[in-house]
Amino acid sequence: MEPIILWQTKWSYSLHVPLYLFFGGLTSGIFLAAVVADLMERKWQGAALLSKVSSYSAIVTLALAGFFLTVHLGKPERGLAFPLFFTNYDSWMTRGGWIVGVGTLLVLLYAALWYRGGAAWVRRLVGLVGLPVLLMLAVYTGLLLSRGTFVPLWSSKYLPFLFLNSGITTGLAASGLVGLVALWFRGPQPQTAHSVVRWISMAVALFILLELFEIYNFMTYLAGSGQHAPTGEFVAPKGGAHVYQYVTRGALAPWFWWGVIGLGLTVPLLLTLVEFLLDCLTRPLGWHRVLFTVPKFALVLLGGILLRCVIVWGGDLSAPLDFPPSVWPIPPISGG
Amino acid sequence: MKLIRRQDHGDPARQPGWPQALNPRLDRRHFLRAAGLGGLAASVTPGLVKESEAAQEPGAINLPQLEQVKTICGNCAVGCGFVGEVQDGVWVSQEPWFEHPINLGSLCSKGAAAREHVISEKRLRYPMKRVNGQWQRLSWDQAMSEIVDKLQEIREQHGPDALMLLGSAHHNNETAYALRKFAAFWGSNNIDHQARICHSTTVAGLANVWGYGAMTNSMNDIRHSRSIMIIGENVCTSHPIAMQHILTAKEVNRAQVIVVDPRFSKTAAFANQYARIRSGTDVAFIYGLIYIILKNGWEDKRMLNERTYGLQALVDEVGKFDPDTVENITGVSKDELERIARTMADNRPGTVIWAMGGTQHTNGTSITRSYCALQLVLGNMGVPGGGTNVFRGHDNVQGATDLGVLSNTLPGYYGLGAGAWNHWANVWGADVEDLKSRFTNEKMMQKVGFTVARWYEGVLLDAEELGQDVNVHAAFYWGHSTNCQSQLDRIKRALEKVDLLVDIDPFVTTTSILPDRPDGVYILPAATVYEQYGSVTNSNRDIQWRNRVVAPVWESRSDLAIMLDLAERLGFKDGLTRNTQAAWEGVPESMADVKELPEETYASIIREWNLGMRTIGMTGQTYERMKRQQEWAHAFDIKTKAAVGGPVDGEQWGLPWPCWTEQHPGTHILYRTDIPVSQGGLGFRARWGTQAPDGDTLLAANGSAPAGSSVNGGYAELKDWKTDLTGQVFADAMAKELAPFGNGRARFNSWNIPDPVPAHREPIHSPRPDLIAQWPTYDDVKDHYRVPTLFKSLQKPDWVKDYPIILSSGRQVEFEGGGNSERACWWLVELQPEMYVEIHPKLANDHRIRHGDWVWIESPEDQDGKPSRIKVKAKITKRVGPDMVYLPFHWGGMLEGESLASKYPAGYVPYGLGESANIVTNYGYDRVTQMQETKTGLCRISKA
Amino acid sequence: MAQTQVTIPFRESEGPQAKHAPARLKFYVDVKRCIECGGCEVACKNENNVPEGIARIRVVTVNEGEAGESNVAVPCMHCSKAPCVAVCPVDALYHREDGIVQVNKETCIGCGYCLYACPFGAPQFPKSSPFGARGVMDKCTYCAGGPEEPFSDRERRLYGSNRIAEGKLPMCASVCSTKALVAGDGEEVANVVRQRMAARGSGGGGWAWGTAYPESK
Repeated sequence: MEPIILWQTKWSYSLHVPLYLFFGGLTSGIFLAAVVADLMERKWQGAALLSKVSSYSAIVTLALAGFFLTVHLGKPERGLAFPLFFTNYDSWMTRGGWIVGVGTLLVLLYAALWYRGGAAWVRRLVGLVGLPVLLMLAVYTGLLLSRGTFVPLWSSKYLPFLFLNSGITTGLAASGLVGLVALWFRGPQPQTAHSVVRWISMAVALFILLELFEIYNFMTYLAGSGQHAPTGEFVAPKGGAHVYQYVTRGALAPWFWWGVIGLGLTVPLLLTLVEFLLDCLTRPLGWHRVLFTVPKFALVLLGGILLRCVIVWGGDLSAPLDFPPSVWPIPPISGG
Repeated sequence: MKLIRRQDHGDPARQPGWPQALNPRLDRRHFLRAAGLGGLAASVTPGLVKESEAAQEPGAINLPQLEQVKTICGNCAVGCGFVGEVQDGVWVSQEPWFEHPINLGSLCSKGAAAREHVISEKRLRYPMKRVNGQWQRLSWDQAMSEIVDKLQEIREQHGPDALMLLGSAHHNNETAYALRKFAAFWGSNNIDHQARICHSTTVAGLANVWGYGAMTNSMNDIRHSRSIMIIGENVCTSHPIAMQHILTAKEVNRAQVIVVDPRFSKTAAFANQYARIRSGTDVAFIYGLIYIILKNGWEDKRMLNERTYGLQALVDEVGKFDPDTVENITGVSKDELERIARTMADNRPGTVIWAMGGTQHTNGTSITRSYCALQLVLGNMGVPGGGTNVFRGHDNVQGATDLGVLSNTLPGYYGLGAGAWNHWANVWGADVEDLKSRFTNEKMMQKVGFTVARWYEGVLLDAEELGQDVNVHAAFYWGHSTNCQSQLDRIKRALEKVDLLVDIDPFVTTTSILPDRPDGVYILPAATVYEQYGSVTNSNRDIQWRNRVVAPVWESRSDLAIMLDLAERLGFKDGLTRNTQAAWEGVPESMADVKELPEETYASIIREWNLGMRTIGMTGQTYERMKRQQEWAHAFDIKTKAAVGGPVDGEQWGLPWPCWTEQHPGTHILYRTDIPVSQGGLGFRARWGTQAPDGDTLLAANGSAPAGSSVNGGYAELKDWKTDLTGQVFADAMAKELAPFGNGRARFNSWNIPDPVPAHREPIHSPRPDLIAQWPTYDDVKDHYRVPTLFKSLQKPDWVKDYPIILSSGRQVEFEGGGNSERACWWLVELQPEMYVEIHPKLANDHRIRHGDWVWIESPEDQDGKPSRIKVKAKITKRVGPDMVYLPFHWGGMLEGESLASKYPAGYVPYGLGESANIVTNYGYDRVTQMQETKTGLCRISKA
Repeated sequence: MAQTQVTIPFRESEGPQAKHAPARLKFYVDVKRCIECGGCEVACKNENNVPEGIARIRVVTVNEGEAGESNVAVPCMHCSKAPCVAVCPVDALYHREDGIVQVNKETCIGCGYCLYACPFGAPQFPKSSPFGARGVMDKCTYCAGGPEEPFSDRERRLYGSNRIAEGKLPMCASVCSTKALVAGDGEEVANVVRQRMAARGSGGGGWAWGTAYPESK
């Protein structure tokens, strides 16, 4: 008897979990941008300002992540007091809670060091120390989901890397956006101001390519399930194929293709391409550059949200039972 | 909320917060006992830690102390037992009754929800009356006097036949019996109940074959079967607990389960063989089987020679049904037919199980008789594991049928002739002349009355067209749902036209809210079955005593109390409440404010029907024996239903009738001749004399008689066996090992009814015009239970052009009957929140219908030029074939897409509302019993 | 105290202690017998006064209307290596000595992690609103109540009835129409299942047969 996939609408197209995952990854990327910009202050014009506003933004995004994380709980008050209650260190929820906690302190510290001024090396040291923790923030969101071994879309090793990558992409884009705003009002003249932004654009383009590559691998792996039985799929070898169908051809397909791949990754890439072509073929763009960078970065952010949404909603397809093959809807259960 | 005595507050071992240590006295064997698995259940009591043990040990866990009341589920005719736990008069929880031999503790969703019938927020609390289009509360006294005044006014103007009493299959035996007696004292035969639309064709069919019209074996007995044909029945949905026995037979006996059904039902999923048959073509199918059996010489010659009559007539008819013809008519291929016939022949004993799929047709009495013919031909009658196992519907439909809540007979199938009236007048200690004076005249006293299937025509048609001189002006819906009857839109008009409509029920039913009328409707709160004492007869013919779990809640009154109150106000309570031996005990002087009668009243009524119900031997099941069996349930064997040891040694569970005397154990398996009559053996009933009109004998052959019989062969029925009230005839019969009803032959040719040999006839709404020409329906009948019934004049071969889809209706497991009780139960509605229609993917795609779309179902019959139609959601499934749709019929509260919620009294809208399937089910009635043809009609569908 | 490791209590199957060896309680669903009568679903709600919208046990049908149609009742399976216990951040879920997995509603923070770790969808949340207030997790308790005083009002309100402490089995298994849902000590349940499989022969419904023996599919 072949195992079957059952359909359980646990998440009912809700937004809390995707948003908290998104803001978590975003914070990592913003912090990365801040630290790198901090270190490259001398080489890139406007990097210091970008680093400063990014570090402030990181507080906001981390707060938002924490907000969504807390309100999605049944008992938010206990979640906030997590050092008292989170006792199971085998659980990524606990480990993640600590990462968020320590991360918050580091982000606050880093931003405070920017705000108060002071020795740059202290600040950079804090940044470098904090960087692994914050990057872990993005990675852990993927690890959290991948413990759902009975959910074909989540139970693979691709998810942590994908979320890390997406976190970096979106973080860099967000950093670029806030940097642009700051540079516009407070920065040096337009001519040189875009140096840091250009570097960020290139970095974003690079990570987008990497992300597209990862998504491609991930989807191929899912589509090919049934030939191999890695972790979690032992009860439903075809689960991956089912969810691949669902994501790329089913109800989630528009979100995936138009949203994640199209608007979130491909269009920004195209915009970047056009932008640099124009850079090379004509004189370097002046303020016109913002016509490319702002939509580009905004779309990357949108794509990041949509990616999380698709991943979380795709988790509705779960594989519990060893049974004659079928896909049949069962009554929804509350949750999410 | 349970109220429990607290103990050990300070005991440190019992602090909350961390996992409690398991009670060390509970080992694993203890647990298995409580599961009721295997044979263990029969020998030990449930795994309750005994109270005395708990009290002795220090730090012991204190158990809640609750009154345990053994009772019988009120939902279907399997008759499962369970225990109600009561505290301070409040029903707080249910427990399984593991020793009950029929269900072994099991319950389906309806039985598991029994408690909600009593505690539901939707329970009717007080009487209500419709005034100027609004519902108004009134007192019982007020309601009763208004109703009685109106009744008497109607009686004076039009006579007693202007009242139609729709009784109930949920009434226990004593209440049902009292109701029939009530109708006799009122002076009309216009009393009927749900059996009419359920198994009336079975009763008439089987009775005309071998004398009794009831299930011949039992559900437990199916454990002995080696082949099981389930035709026109969905056991998983309609009788879930019976599946326990069927699956055991399948696993232990390797029994072959054959399901024959137009739908691939849930039961079909468990079958070894499944044949998809066109609804209504059962006779052709069965004859096809018999054809193959006879051709191969597989018949049981001994049974046929010694105990049947009219074989040649059967053979002549069967000869028309060669496998090709059968394939053409039924859709079952020749190979399948051959395979099924061979399976049944190779695996004997085999049983045939059926329900509405077989009975609800215009030729229903032919269909049921054809099943009997099959079993006779195979020699499967009168043996364990064989028989015609008719699965009946409501919890006491068998009892209400036996006790005559029918328009064509008095209690006990005596009929309405002078002899019947004499007998019952004798039993009741009443004067026949006095009874006669209550009727319109002697002719009406002996004339069959309206049925629940067509009574409304008595309202709508002119009086000249009726079989009585007056129209119907008052209707009492007493524990009866209106949305189970076909032609619901016509019923709606009738309900609007009557002068008085009284709805007596624990819940607000579709009856009260369907008609658009400003006044003239009374709703009276009745107690549920769990709030009344009484005995009930399940499908196995077992009579079980049901203890009342709690007293009637709110202002509801037991049905008997309501009845006696009415009788008192109408002036015949004294006649009603006594018989030739004694008056009923416990009946108060005045019925005002009396909510219920005590247990001894019901015991008195049992003594009365013990006295009078001689035809079917409901004479030995005394009140004392019933109560004793309840205490000794654990002594009964599951496979044989016979008790081993104790004071019940040798008794059959439920003392199934005929139970001739108080020493008789009951008759588990009808017509078996390998045991003596005093132990439950019987031949076929010699009901039609000793000789047929064509000269052949109707008595069993020499040598064929129950074991130990003093007459070794056939004999006529004993003199005065039906009317002797002293019991001497039965006692003598037992002493001589003779069956009081004789020892006769089963008839293949029942010359006294239409289609003496069962015949195939196309349904009135047949999708096959070519077959209509060859197998047409009956001629119209002018006076058919006092109404004209159309057959041939209605059947149009070209309906199918405009209405190409076969329409069928049936059950859902969570609901029963009209669904008014179950749809007021939140737990059940959560499982089935919506009405729907089952459509095959091909049919759906042809009409551009997707799963979940709203669909119009339209019927060929119209009301005043407007087609009847309903709006339901589509459920796409391959259960049905691409030529058919299927509707569950338990729904009400919506009409043609409009919600009727506003017509309910405030706060009483059920949790589940939906369209009633019977708005669109077609016109069609059985020729003999006027059973409705709701299993096969025509319709068309369109996307809404 | 996190109980992510399963502790199988020491059992002597022979000898004078045999009668008092603690049971390890399990469910088994015999898919060859389940007929989707809904008895377990309703009996559970009746017995435990389950909140609206929660189905502590559900019956799932696959291949509806076709050959191979099967039904299976899905309660909490009280897994020996329960994923829910493993991932709960606050250790609100734990194993009892007799194998029953219970949740402490006081400790639970409603994060929902157990819900997506569970293969059977057993953990459920009574409330769901745009602001994510889920309430705390509710699930099948094997009719063993919760970490409160047995039969107390508090236990009844939070967790439902405690039949195990009375020496009875869960209500669902007690009323199953066809004895498809078997509950009790693991060894006894296994015996029952073994007998049935032996009676039925091959294809008798042994779970995961095809997974365990892929060549014989």
